[in-house]
Amino acid sequence: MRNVLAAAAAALLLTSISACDFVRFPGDGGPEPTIPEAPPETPPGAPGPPPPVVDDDDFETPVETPDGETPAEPAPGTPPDGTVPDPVDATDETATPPVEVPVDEAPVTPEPETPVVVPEPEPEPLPEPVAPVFSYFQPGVLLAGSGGGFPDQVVHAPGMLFPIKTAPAVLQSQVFAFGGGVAGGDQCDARNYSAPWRDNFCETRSANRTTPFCPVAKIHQGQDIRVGTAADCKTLRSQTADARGLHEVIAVEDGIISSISTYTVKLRAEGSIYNYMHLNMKRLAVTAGQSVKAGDLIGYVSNDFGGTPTTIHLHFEVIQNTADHGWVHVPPYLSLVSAYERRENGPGEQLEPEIGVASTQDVFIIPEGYEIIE
Amino acid sequence: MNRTLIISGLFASALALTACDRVFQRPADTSGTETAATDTPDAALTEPGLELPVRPESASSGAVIDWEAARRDLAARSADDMEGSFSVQSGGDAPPVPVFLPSGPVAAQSGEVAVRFQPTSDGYYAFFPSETYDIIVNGTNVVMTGPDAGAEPVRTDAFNFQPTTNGAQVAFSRYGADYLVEFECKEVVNGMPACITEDEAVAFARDLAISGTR
Repeated sequence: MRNVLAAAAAALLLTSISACDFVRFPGDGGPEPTIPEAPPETPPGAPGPPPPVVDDDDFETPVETPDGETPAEPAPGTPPDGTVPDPVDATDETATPPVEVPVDEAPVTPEPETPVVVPEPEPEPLPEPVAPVFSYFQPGVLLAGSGGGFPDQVVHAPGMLFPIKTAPAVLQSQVFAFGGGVAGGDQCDARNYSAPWRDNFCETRSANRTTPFCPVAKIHQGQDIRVGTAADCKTLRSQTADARGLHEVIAVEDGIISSISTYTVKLRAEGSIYNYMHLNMKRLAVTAGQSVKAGDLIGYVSNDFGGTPTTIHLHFEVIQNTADHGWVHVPPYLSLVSAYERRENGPGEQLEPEIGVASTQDVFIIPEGYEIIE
Repeated sequence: MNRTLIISGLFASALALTACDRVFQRPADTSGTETAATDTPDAALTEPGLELPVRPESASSGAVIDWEAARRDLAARSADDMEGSFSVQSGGDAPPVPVFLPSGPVAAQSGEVAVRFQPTSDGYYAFFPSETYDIIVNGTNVVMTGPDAGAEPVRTDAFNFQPTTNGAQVAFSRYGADYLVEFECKEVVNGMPACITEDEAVAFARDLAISGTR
């Protein structure tokens, strides 16, 4: 009796080893499963059930059939030569030929009917979206009631640096936002420093300035840039004008400082002239005629305006020799957006314009006797 | 004892099944498909390069300069006409555009910064101070063209005046090069620069004379 039991255990061991091979690696030299009945016809290429999961439990807990019965052991009768018919399509000429199994191995224990399907490789995970580092309204979408913008979608100064070296910046109207001549309020209002960027090229002004890029005359020829934070604004405001030196302004391209006037520094580059206005003119880091490299310090953000101070901001202009118009002021907004993205090494998020505000036809009517300056 | 043997046999069977995927581990397939599948997870682990938005851009190009016409016009200027005017080197080392400067004598006023002439890689600029405004004359052979630019633009001899945030400017073209005269007001009255009229600005630009060529 003991010998019989030992032999049974040994046979079971060998049977198990044989079985596990073809479950994992069909067609790998191991025996193909013996299918008690022909499987239902499956169209070539049709998806099948998932591959069986083999673990220890499979051999300790019998799997029940849907009617609650333990599946019966496959009937003996495997051909002695070990050949088995193709489980999918025995008439398929391209099917793998039957594989012979050495006859000296233990009898094959057939597995339950389980078509083996190679699992589809999992799709490559999409890269994580990069969080935008700032948000901006599209070019030409001016603040409601501030004028008619030009929906220019061209980077006119590709490769230029952002004119502020490191501090956070908000492109925004000075006149029509908090603390401006039209809007009123406090220029150091925190909302001025958290708003999405907004184009203010072509914004309404009293002086009869034009450019072919604006739909009407009497416009703002540059982009206003608020720099730092509301706390910075208050700090700068509490300082004397000559002492201000918090936010560094840099050369956006290689070039020469062609002129320094009352409140303007001009950087002449190839085919372009960059105008920096309202810097602290008492603390400039450059002199007229000096050659500069992109990134060199020019000065600091302030509010110098020839004796009549404006809000604390940088007014930035780009004058270019364009093919269509010759030397004219071009919209700097998208060039600044791209430059800031490069500085911050992250994309900006373009926002949809608000419904019912700002369009290219939205022209601000200046009240009689009212002057809108910078 | 019998029960012990049976249990041992079952245990051995289970142990064999647990280990069999190691025992019969298929050698790595070197076919392209398998290799690609193997490489995919590694590639996914690699940090993808950050790609910033790509937008339409202007591109620069060089203007074609009519040097022959410039030399002819320079030669036509009389010696009397050029007396006292700003002297600019001509020849191979001259700026890459014909140089236009004021035809008459230009001198810095007392206490003012000096007149400057500076060749650049694309042309030149010249700075002239005056009592109420500074003047900067720029010449360039670089043209910025937008992605939607149409046919070759036609330049005229017109003088295009524009008031600016800090004064005014006049643009014109000659010999294929483009010029910009900037007037920088030294005083701002009520926030508005009003140091020069359009007539004065255009007259100054018209009076510029060719003063150097290659």
